[in-house]
Amino acid sequence: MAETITQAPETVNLTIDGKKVTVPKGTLLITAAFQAGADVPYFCHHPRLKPAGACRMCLVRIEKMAKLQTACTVPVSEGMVVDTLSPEVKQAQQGILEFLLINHPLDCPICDRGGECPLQNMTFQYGPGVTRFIDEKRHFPKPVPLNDYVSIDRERCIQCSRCTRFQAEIAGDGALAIESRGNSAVIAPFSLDGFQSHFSGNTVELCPVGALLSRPYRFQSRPWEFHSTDSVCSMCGVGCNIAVQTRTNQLMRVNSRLNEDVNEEWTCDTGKFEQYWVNSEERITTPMIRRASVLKPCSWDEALTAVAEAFSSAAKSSSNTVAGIGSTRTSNEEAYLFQRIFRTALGSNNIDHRMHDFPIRPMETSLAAIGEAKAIVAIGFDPKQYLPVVWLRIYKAISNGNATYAHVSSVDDPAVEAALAVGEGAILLTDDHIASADLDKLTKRAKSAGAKINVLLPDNNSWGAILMGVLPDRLPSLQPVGNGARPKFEALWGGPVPDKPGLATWDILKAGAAGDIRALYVLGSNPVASFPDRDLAASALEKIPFVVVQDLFLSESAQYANVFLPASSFIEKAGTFTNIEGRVQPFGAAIRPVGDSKPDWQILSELYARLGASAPFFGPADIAREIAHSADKNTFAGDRR
Amino acid sequence: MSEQPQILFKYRNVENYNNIDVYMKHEGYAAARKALQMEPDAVIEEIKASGLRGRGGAGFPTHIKWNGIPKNWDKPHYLVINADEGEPGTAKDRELMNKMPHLLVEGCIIAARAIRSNRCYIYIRGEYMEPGQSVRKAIQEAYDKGFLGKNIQGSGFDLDIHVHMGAGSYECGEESALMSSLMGERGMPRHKPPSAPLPVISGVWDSPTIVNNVETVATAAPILNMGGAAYGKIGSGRSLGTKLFTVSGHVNKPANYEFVLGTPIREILETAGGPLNGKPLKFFIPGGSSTPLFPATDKFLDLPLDYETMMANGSMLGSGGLMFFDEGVSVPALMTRLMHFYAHESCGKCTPCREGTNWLTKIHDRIMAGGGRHEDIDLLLDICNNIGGRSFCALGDAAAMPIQGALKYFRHEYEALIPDRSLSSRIYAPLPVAAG
Repeated sequence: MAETITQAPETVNLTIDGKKVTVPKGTLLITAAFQAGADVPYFCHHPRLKPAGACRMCLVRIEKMAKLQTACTVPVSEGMVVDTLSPEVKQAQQGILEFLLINHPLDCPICDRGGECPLQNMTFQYGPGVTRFIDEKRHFPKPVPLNDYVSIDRERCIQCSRCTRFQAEIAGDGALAIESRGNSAVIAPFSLDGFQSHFSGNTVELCPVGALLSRPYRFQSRPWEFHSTDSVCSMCGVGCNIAVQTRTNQLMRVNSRLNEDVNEEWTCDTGKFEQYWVNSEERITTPMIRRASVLKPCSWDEALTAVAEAFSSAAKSSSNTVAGIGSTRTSNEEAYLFQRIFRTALGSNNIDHRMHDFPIRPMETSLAAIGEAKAIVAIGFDPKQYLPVVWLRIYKAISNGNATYAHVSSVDDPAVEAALAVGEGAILLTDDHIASADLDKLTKRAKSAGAKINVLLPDNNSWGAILMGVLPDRLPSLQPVGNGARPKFEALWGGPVPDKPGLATWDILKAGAAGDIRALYVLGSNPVASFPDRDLAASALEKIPFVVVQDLFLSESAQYANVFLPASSFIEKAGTFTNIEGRVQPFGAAIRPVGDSKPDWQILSELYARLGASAPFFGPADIAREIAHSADKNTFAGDRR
Repeated sequence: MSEQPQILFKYRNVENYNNIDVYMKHEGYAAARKALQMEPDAVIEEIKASGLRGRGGAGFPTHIKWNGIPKNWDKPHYLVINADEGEPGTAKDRELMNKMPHLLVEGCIIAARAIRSNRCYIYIRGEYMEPGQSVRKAIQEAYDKGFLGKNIQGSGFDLDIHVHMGAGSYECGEESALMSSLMGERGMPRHKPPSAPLPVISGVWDSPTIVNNVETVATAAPILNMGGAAYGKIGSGRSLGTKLFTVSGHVNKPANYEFVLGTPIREILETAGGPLNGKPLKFFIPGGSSTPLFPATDKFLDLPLDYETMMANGSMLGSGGLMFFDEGVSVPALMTRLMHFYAHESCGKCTPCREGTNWLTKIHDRIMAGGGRHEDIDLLLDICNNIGGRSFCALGDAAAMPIQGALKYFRHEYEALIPDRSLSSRIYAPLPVAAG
């Protein structure tokens, strides 16, 4: 292994359209042609899929070969002389395009893909100007829904097999197959239950025509009408890079964005299709205050003044009577500001975001390293369900490197032992529900075997909440409240910071139920629904005299709110999220805040001013600057871009 | 008429020749015993001396294929017999498997010995129920007599033969699609050089694999019996030995015949009883439906039927399906039928074949229905040119070639079907058919 790494990669020299290029051995001709600046048209080729040679669009002339060859299937060889521009090649490409078009409905004006369609583009560039086909086109019933998210228009399909290959080679489920043959061949779900995959949405993006369609996006917008904003998925801890595409201040579509270290170019269906809640009509977009036991709309000033008064008067009596429960879904800037307000303006460490106790331990490998593991065991959770894009890395290891994989319920499962026997290159994955005794046991065994353990936290900013200090005993960067880092923060924040650890979520709720908490701030979380002991959470919120809930929806916890502050979704604000690896990734604001809602950072900043902050924050960048200044390098390292 | 040595059909008329006891009384399994005592490379040398070429259609020299198997590899080697005889007009393997299945089994033993393979699959066309039964019975008899299984006849050589029935797809007769189908995948062709290694390096289950036609392998036994050099004396040039031909269509005695390669077509026609009822012939197809036709003129009937001559005249020897057609046959009508066949059998993997065969079919249907346009004829040729050499496997070529042949010699028949619409060239509709 070590020898192959130190060796320079073997290269091959060839000539493409008179240009000399040198590429690594084994490179496909089409890749070399792109490198030489040759614009070879293609449909079925995709650099992450195995060569198919199905569409025949990339035919080129290779000297000394009898026939034209498909550039997407032929590996380069030394001294190859290739022509991609001759009239013969152009004529062949035009012939193939004519074949593809004879049965294509050419309904581009009403096709969702129109405007960003490879077939449309190729036709414009390489296609015949007129049709010679006067017969009846092929007909299929359409559109046919394949699952909740994807439907298929089979008349538009050009049988490139990108979708079936993606499902087989990348998603590893083979959920799509070709049914029937020849002219009647259609793409169909393998299962009678439909397109059963967590990754079906990727086929919509891969499809070089408008055959596979997003059902939520269908007929909603044209690609040239919407605005695309670089963002990060809010649905789980992987932090897939996404493009949020919006029009008329609404989310139209989520597409994936390339990030080789995180999601490559994929997303899961949850990320692509389950973020339309930002458009929901059930969102609360005006502040509300409880009057005569009913929540009534009010002005922001009224709401924030009530919150500020309740918290400062409670804190004045005793800082132990105020508490805050943060969230794993707010941005790093918001989490940071939240704990800063509690620690400085209210003098309390009663701040937490955890719904249960779990081991705080960074991943020992990167996400990408999972794709190169030799043995993988997922303990106590199913990656496909829980962090779907992690599964794509696991399947990569299985398919490329022949890694073994098991998903088991207990650390004592023989599969764990088998993986540890592999030693270096073995990666154990577990979620945040692993018992710390089990984890300690596992750590000992893994350490002696040379294996790695990754504890995968669930939410899009679980790590952000931890590293920004939304914990009763930790300041930002995991600094204990009692130790030497505190003075640094006191100087930065311009005031004393309590040195005793505060109450954790479960203690806050217990104290609340016992009547010891006077004011509770629920920021973006919903303890009544997500705290394991729901009755305790409900009775605590019932008992606490002043509860403020800051959220998008009137959640279960909001039923107990004295003041409800309408927050904006992640697409309405800018900020950063920290993914399971600890990678800090920025996201931009795609639309204006909906209605009268405000981004969490802005609400907190305005509240902070009412609580006496001397220098308010005017934007997430202001806060980020302070975080970068205060945090150690490892906890706010920034994205690599 | 020249003398026609009968090699494969030597004992064709012996009763119960499909029974192993009867077969063994007629030189049966002598060649297998011989091969088992020979070094594998010596077997290949015999085949080389015989000049045997693949009988499935492409005519690739058999010994070169067998020699291509890497020596001293720890991977298993596979012998796969292509018995997916689907080419319209061809039924020679059917008779071989029905009446002389032991010739195939013995050939498999010899071929497996030559390529050092211990596992052989016979992939039989799904519709061939009877040949399938016949071969299965023969394999069982060979096991019972100790010609298959472990340590065959004390030679230390093991061989197991499995029969795999296809599911009814012409495409699965294409060697790489056959391998896909055999492995349980969809019957679609696989990458070939220069995109991927040859099957002799990486065939079924990524292992060295030889795919041979039934007739090719069956010929191995007689070759070993008579000696490769003796077999190589039959025929001339590079077309050596005898070959089975399925003669069908408008002849008095349609059947399978064994002829020396290079026998003039006229002699074959006469052996098959001459034109049916003496009616003059119009054209013939030399090697199965995929090969371009020839007009039944003296020039073409006098051609010797061998690989090189057919190629030089713009057609192919193909699978040996010789079809004669008399004056009553319309060439466009026949081509319409053929195009329906190819469009139905296209696997759909690649664009030119999937779309091209379908388009050719639609144009033919329209021409036959009286909706043809003059430009359709050149369009047909253009479509054929756009398919030929550009499809993933040879099925596309196989669909295009017959049209090219038909239009070369019988363009006037297509033109005759196109109504004269000079007065109403902008209106496109079939003309009314005159009464009477």
